Amino acid sequence: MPVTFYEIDAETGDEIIAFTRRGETVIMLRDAYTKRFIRRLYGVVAEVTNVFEYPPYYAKRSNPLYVDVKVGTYIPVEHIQQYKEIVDKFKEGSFGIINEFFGPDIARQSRIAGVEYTHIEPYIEPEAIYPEYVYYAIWHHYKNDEKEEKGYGRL
Amino acid sequence: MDGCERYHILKIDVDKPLSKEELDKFISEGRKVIGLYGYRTLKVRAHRSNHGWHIWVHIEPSVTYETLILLQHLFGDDERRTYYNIMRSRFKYRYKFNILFNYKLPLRKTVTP
Repeated sequence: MPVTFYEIDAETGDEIIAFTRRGETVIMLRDAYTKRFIRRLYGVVAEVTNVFEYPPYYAKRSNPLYVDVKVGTYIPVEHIQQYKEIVDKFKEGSFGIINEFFGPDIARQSRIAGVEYTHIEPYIEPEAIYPEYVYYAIWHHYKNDEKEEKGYGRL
Repeated sequence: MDGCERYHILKIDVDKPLSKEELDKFISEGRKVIGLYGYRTLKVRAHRSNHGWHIWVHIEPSVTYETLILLQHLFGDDERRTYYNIMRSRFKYRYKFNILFNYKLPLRKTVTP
């Protein structure tokens, strides 16, 4: 049974693996140390974080800016084999969200901080099942300009 | 999740290339420190990251976000991460950003506009 997906759950530290058994893809949550299966999953939440950081020690005229954007989707078991392509699309999409809020200059200077996978159920939203997605944006400009936004979109 | 949620997993980012023995010592010291405040460790999972280790500590009882960040700091979390976690503590979606990345892309220096 070749393992087609192997990632560490970013929320709990357990392992998420996918393999094909009798022509069917199975996703399992497994304990990282004992290798015992904990339970079967029917999808995985994949999230890409994009960050723009212009900290106070660089910023002139008291104009620091910090932006965090997270784009995530729930990848059901039938799409788990294409998870790398899906995550690549989200990496590009996260720049689009920063562009929408802050313009192309900030988007160009932002960077993808990382990708994480999890199975935690409160994070699975019905509006954000692939190909739909959810994004969260948090920014802190100066004391009175800090805001957060949440929205949904479709690839 | 609406801001009064409770958490039971500490996520520790150690950006030092500790050996297995050093990591065991680090974890046991951290467990002692949070034990002093009455928190019991149920399970610890550690995985190698690009620069060191990512550690997940399952504790009991569950705590608020602010206490979680302080406990993470006491356990030995990265200072920079603690700084940003505290900065985000006013936000509603703060729980989405206390993260340990499975796959981290290389850092690119921010260009001064």
